[in-house]
Amino acid sequence: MKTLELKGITKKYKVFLAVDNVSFSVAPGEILGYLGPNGAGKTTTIKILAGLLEQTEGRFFYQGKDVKNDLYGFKKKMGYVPEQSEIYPHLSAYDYLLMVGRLRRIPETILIEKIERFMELFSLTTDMYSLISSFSKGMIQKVLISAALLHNPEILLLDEPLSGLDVTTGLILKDLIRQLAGIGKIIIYSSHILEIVEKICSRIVIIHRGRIVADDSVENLRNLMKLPSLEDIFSQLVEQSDTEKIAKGMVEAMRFDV
Amino acid sequence: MRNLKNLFVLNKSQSPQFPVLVRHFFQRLFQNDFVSLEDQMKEKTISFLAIIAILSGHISNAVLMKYMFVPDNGVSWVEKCYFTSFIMLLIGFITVFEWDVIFPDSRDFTNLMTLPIKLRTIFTTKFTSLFLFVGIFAMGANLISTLAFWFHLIKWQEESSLFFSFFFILAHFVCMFAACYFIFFFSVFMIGVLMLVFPERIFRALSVYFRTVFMAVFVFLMIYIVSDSFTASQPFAFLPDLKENHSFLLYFFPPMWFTGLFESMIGSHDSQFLTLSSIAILSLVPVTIGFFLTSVASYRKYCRKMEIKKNVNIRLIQIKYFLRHSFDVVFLRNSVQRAVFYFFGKTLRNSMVHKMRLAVFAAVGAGLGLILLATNFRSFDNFSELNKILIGIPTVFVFFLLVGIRSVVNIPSSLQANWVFRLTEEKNLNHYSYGFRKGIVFYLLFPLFILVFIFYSFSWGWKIGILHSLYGFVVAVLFMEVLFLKYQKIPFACSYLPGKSKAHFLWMLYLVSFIVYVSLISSLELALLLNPSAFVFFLGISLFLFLVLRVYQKQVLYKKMVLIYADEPEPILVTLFTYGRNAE
Repeated sequence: MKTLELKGITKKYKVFLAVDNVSFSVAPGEILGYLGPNGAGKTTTIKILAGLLEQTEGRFFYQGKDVKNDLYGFKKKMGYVPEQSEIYPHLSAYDYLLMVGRLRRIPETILIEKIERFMELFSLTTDMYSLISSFSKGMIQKVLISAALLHNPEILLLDEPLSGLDVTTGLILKDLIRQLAGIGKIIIYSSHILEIVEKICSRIVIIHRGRIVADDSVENLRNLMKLPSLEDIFSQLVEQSDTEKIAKGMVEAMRFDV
Repeated sequence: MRNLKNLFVLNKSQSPQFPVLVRHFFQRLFQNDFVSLEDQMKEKTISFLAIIAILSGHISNAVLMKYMFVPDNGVSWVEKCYFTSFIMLLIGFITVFEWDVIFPDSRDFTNLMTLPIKLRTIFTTKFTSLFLFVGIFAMGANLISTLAFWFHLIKWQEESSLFFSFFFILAHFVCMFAACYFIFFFSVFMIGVLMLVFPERIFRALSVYFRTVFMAVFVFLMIYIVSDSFTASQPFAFLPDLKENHSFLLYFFPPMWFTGLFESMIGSHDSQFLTLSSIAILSLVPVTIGFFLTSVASYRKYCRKMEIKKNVNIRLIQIKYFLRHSFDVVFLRNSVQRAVFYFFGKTLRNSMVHKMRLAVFAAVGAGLGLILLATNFRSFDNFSELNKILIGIPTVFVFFLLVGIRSVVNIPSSLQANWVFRLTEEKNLNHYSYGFRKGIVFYLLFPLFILVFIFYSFSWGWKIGILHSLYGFVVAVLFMEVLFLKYQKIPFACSYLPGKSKAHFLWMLYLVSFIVYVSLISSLELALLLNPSAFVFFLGISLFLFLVLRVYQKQVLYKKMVLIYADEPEPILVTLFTYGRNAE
């Protein structure tokens, strides 16, 4: 079975435990929603999976094999959309995708065809030769999504992929994720936008202060916790503060001394 | 810097906009292509000020030394003019170096225009920050030299009271500051004019070449002047004759204006000096007005235009990509090599930080080339005969260009974006390395040696032109191979630790290597050009060396190496290896 499995992943910085003993597995065709408030450890986990950070403890396996033994092979099968728009601004979208495709050793003719098709589908045909430095956040996100899909990966790590996208592209991406799951891709979707996760993910893992506090389907979580929505479940699990009180405090701070 | 902060703090009743903006613009002047961190900025600025203080102090002392023994019978104005010229060149170089941050840029306007600040305030504060900037460098350049002038010359003045001593020092400083102010704002005005004359895109593309040429000229003139202070018994020996003959040329030489001002301030009644001092004072007015006019005009032309999206000619781009793919089929068959090759080329082309750093190296190389040419120039017949000096010019330039590339590729471009390389990394270093080297060859060496061929074909005929450029190209490729033998990074994709190069300690080694390298290479080439049949052996040996280096790299080095994305810092404590694993 082509399952991705994390066992006891821990990431410790000098005085800070970013990820604490995280374990879960994702099967092909599954969309795993990885939820948590800011600073919970979502991006750290995703970066460990992408091979950009090394875990302090724990291992993760793909197809039953320890990824550490063949990180290069694992990276070839994986696509990654980072949370921040971390991209070379001095390249055009076309040049950037060309570079990524070449680094992934996609044959040139296929690569060019793919780039042109992605750019067309994302309505970037006229802008693809302009420098990325002149792009909006949404346009950059489209380029990053295209780069993650160019090599037809088996695993997709999406870290806030809807960030900055317009409504139409957001809807396209949601459908795309569903279709990719339909053809057996493993998808880890990290976000803090609960409505989207609730709609597209087949399973939810909620992380809080580096530790997993829930791991089940939305339906099961609702029944288990006897709460009507994912938002309520999330609030209860991560002990959110009184939002109304915080908002009131902010208004007071804004009006202070004016 | 902390004192400077206090300088800008006004009392609470005053508007805080002015000091805040002056400080903002002033700090941006130091956050240039070479430094980005505040601590780094302070350290570099202080070191640079110390260097120029010592250098200018030494030069003034060297040229004035004779007045220890010989009385100054009103002739020391030549040395004053000589020193003023040096200071003006130094400030001119700094201005060109700071070119990009002199005018408020789009980032300034994007941030400042949304705030309730008048445009007039922006320009006035910018001007004030530039004024302070000139002041700091003028102070640095004259700190020791003012004392040297006072020490060597005051005893020959008619008056030698304490008050006059103080006035002498003040006059020297005022004149030097005025000269610095003039050259700075004149250069700024010239940059502004260029910005206005050329269309935006062309100016942006040409900017780095303009700067390289200006810097090369400044380097050439500075080295020429500095070497004059060591070698000539009387620097600027042509000046006394011009003055004697009341030549009008004297009035077209800006350092003479400020020398005239100095002489007039310390009591000279010479009519020529009086006229020159008037010109000096008057010259400050148009450059100041010029700065404001060009600032406003460039703001209107550029910053508002930036909002308009550029139209891209898709047809042209498609032709360009078609040509590029044809090139790839022949020279870049491996896809990883292609990726690294174009990443190197695009970064060098589009990143101003990297372009400028390389431009400084190129300017020093070109400046030294000009020095070689100027010091050995007898007549234009020199150009038609084979000689070691003319032969050596491309070698000098290539040496600095390649050393520059070695330095430039260590500075990352958008480091946080390098995850794409880490995600797609392959075990084999070969293709990353070959792609990068092909980049150096095709983007830099090949075009350069085509120019070399054209230039030398005019002088020595096309046959010698071909042999000379071929020789230079082969030597440059071999030098590149040696320079990047153990390079295990993707260019521009590894974190950078300034100061790790130990240039402070190794500069002497670099200098000796440079002299030996240039001398040997030029001598060998001269021998080969005089006996062209020996070229076959040279090419054979070069090819053999090239292959040995490549095989050594592939079979020995790259098997042990991995790509590096984060530079290791130097150990805090450097031991004598008397313990641990180095003890054996």
